[in-house]
Amino acid sequence: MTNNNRAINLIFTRRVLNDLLVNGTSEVFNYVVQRYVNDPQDKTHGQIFSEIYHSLGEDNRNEYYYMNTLLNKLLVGIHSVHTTTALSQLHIGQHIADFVMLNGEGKVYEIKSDLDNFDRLHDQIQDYFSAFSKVSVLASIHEYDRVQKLLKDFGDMGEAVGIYVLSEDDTIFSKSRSKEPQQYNEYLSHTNMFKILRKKEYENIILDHFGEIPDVKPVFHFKACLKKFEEIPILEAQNYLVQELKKRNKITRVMFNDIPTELRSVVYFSQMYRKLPQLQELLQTNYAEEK
Amino acid sequence: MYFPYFRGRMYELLALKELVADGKLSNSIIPIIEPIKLTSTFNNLLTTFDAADHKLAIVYNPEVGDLSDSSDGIELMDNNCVIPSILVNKSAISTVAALKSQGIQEKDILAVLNKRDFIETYQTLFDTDSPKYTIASKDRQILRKAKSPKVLFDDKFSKREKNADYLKEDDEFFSEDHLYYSEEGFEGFGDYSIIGNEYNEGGFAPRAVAIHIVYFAKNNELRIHHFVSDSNFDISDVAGKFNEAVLKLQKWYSSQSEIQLTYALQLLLNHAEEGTYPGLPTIKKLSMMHHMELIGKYLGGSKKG
Repeated sequence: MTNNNRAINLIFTRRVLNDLLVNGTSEVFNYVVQRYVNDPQDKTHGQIFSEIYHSLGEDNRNEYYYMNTLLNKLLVGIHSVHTTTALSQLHIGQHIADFVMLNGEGKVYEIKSDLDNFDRLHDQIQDYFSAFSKVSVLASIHEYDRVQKLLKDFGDMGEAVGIYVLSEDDTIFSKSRSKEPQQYNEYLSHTNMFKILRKKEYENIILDHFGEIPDVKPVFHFKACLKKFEEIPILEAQNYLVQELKKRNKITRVMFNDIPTELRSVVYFSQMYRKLPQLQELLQTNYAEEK
Repeated sequence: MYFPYFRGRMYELLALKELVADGKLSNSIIPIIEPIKLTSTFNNLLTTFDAADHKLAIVYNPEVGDLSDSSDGIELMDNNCVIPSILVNKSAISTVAALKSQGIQEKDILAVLNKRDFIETYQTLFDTDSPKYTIASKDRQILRKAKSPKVLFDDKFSKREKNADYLKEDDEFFSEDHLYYSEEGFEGFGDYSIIGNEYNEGGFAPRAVAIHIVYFAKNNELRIHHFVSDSNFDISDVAGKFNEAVLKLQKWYSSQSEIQLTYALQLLLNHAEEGTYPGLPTIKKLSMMHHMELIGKYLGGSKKG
């Protein structure tokens, strides 16, 4: 990847949006605008974001583009934002899941854009299965055969993994080209589930299930709670995990729909929808007026 | 005299403030602070030092942190306890000029000389009048050119990449400058305490927790012992990791009759006893306070006991 590509990858980030909101300007944004956008002074921030996003879609579909397309398909097309929460960058075991969708169950999506490598795929998937029972790979259409072949080598575990493809015209859930994930519980681990949870979250679970929280010295609190958590049958424990994680991202349908499509995943995952009015104002402002 | 050098992080400022407020910072210790932010904690520190009539050196041309870019340096502090200080670097000349316009003379200034390339700048600035102190890095050329009264300065803390790496060598030599500085013609000695020279902003959740405790060996040289947690596989349960580390400290302390107890060490031992976890910055703060208290006791001049 060249430097230019890297700068464009940084456009759809919390940092750039935050700089624009707070300081009225962002170095990365200015740099990319200069390189990729014609006559920016006559355009609004919103138009510029949209233009850059579409140029990503044409010749540089990076991880953000995949993630954003996936979020839009899932939360607009298939599930409702009322009943579904999506999380990104979730630590599971020794790996970080790109995208986890939670409604009645938890589903992990591993994104493999054309720019990614597949070396760690086996260990990534195995770690994801330690907390969630459904895992899928979302890859570009050029990598479909490769993903299928790799998963075959992973035995039972690979069989259970779903495959989705981001087609040239941005469809993902086409019936003919995708394979639904199957439930796979072989690697579920109380410890790995527990370590995803924040203190308040595991306390909620322990309190809910046992009616009380272990009374131990502070430095033994984590271990004592983990020990109790291990007493909960594993699928029930997983259900508690999903219910707690669902609470992490609360957004209303109106808010979600008010975010421009291109910016939805950065705004959603960084929870910047809390500043939605300011954001909308920014997007309607002309680029030149900020100078 | 001992001149510990700090970058003015929150826990460093709190450590110094608590020591001074409790009368536990020896008059033979003059901390040097390179401020990274003008926070209320920093202002409180100045007030506390002023009230206790304890000297501290403030660097007016910091090189790290938020204040490093501001061209005119930090505002002059109208405070009797402050020794105005400069890093001898490319902004030194303008900083000294600014100090002089406020009526501060060369002989009132503490100069930190740690770059060979700026020895000439130092010589130009202090051609006629020597600085109040020159903090001279342990470098042959610098030591040769530094004017008296000078302070022998060195980074004694050998920082490892990861906390878990301290397990490999958990007890090592720290310093013997306090034994020889005087006969070698120095007014004092200095170092970066148990923090080390490297400056990085903020922190992140560590895989291992380490507690660094400085102590006097039988021959009076200073050694440092690193107490490190064992369950260092991931970032979960920091409190539990702290407990592993502090229990090692407790065991070590009770097996060595000659280790000097300090107020801060006692607080750490209390955490071991009670199974409490004070948070990572407090652990650093207490280890640092222990170091200051220990050196203070060695040099004498402590206000209380």
